[in-house]
Amino acid sequence: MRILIVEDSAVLRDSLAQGLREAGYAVDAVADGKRGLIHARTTEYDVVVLDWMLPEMDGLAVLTEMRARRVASAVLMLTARDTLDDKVRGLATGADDYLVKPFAFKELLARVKALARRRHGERSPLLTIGPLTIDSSAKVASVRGKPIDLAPREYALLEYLALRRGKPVTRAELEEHLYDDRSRVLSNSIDAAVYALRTALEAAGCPQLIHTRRKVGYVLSEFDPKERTP
Amino acid sequence: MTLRARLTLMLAITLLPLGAALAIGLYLFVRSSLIARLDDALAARAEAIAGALKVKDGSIEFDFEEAAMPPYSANSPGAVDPARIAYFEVWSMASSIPSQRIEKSASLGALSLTPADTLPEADSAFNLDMPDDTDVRVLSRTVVPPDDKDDERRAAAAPRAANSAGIEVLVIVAVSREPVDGPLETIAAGLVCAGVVFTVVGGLAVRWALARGLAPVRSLADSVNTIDVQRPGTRIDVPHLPAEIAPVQLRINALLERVEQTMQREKRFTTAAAHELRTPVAELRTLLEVAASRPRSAQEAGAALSTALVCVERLDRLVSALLRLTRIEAGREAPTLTDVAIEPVIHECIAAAGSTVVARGIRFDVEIPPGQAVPADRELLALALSNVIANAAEYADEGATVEVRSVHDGASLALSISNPAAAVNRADQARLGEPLFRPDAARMRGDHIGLGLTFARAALSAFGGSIGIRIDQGPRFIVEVRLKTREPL
Repeated sequence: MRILIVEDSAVLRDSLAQGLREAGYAVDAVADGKRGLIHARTTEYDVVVLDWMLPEMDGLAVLTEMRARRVASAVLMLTARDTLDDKVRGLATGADDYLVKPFAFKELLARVKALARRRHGERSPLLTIGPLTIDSSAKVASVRGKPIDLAPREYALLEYLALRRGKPVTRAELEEHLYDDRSRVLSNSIDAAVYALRTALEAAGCPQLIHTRRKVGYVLSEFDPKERTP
Repeated sequence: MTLRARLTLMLAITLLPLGAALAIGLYLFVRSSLIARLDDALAARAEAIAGALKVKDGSIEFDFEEAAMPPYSANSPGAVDPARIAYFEVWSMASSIPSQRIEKSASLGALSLTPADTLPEADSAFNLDMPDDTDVRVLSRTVVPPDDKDDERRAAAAPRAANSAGIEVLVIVAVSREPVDGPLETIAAGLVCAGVVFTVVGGLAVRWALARGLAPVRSLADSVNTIDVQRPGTRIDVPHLPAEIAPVQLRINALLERVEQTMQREKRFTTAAAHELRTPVAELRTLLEVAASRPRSAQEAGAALSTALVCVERLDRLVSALLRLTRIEAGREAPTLTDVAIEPVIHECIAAAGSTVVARGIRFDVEIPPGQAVPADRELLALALSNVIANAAEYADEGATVEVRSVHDGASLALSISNPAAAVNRADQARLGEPLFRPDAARMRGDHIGLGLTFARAALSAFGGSIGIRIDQGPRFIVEVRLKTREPL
């Protein structure tokens, strides 16, 4: 999952980025509205954490422009404005959620997780594919109730494939959602991560759920799509 | 007391005495006219009686036939109209003997026109209330009867010519005052009735007229009453207001506009203050929560604590600044006026902004006459100028030159601090100097809290100074500090 933070306070921006990265998200962070809009338009973020009072271009203008250009990322408005009118205005402009400063980081994390789920049409934090269960709230995967030890990147890959289960996901899409601007992405990074994930799942006694679609990417499915093809 | 009642009372106080004076004047004029006519009639009667007097052999003869003059007859009550009854007495006024009555009319009976035989003043007219409750008008006339040898024609030509005996006669005639008192009573009663009717009808008419006249005031009051304090943008618009009241509506709307602007400014300040206070708190909380979310190395923990300290210091600066601003605006920091030389204060302020000045490559070009001084509170002046100078160092373009100049116009000294500021938007001009307002360029630099010009304004106003801000073509950001001078410089 990839998140964009648009916040002019350097301390808050850095703290949020660190906390979200440690929670397993790929995070980009910018300090002003114009750069925030450019990022939002050029990268398919799952969630955008957007401050309201920003230099260059305020958050509401960024949001308006995003929605006008059909950017589908979920947006969490982050602001010190706490009046009902402000909240209504933010939500009416196209925000998916609203959080007033100061806030608990846990609450922000929970809202980001919920927004990311809803972005992919999931309401429950529990995703089940055969014997595999993924708790996107606790960021834990288990096979038949037994937790699997996964690196953050492997878990992020599994969660993203699970959210798109049954559908082919390209390597480019995976790169866009799993790596942020700071990451050094090699040409075989995705393949290497998929290999590591398959190995971990196999070690946990999980049947093969990640299927390769040649020249397309990967599909997470209980059944191999190739076998079902007549 | 309502305005209508007050106006009604004032009109009553003004009009009622005026009406009463007019009524009394009219009454007195009519009375005077009627009495004059009555006196003329009495004079004619006196002349007629005088014509019947002659002097013969040193004594007076009164040739009077009562039958020829019925009003003087002894009529039984009801036989003659009381208003037509007349009376007379004729008194001899010879100087050698006491005055004695020669004759009186039968109509007097036992009564007399000269109670206690006291003769009235000659040629006078007066009212007399006789013992039988008859009110009469009395006229006395001194007459010199002619000698008997004179013929009647001579007597008629010169009735007052001296007779040979030197005898004078006092003719006193009287008639009932009924012809005067009757109409006067009618007129008085009419005037009283007219006064009552005028008072009642006039009062009602005044109330109605005032109600109609004051209706726009009531409409205006109703409109003012509908103003919602939660919606300061409301304006009143009462149609067809008279010219006297229309300015009130204009003033109220102007007041509402000022209130709205103040409320908007306060709201912006509150919002900005909330943002400025909440942001460092949010920074601190998030920083510490993330830092505490998992075990950290000593280096990571130290970095987090250092950042937290920066946040706390900024929060401390902000809270202290807000508290000081409140104290200055509340007048709790009283100024102490002394002659303060401007130039040293400017250089102190530039030195205080040293780190920003050096980091951003800002130059200061100061041209102030040495020894130029103004009466001011040195600490507050330094506070104001340090904020303006720090502001210039913060806003000016990188490597720009800030010009400091002074211009005097007799009563005051204008100190201008100007610098090129490409990042300042001319559209922000109206809001520059508002508490906590920061143009984008300043927001990008984390330690600027947007209270500098607000402080400067508050500090200067404490000892009679003021501050103006404008953006000229360039754009060039200009702050003009105006200070009072003790005498023309």
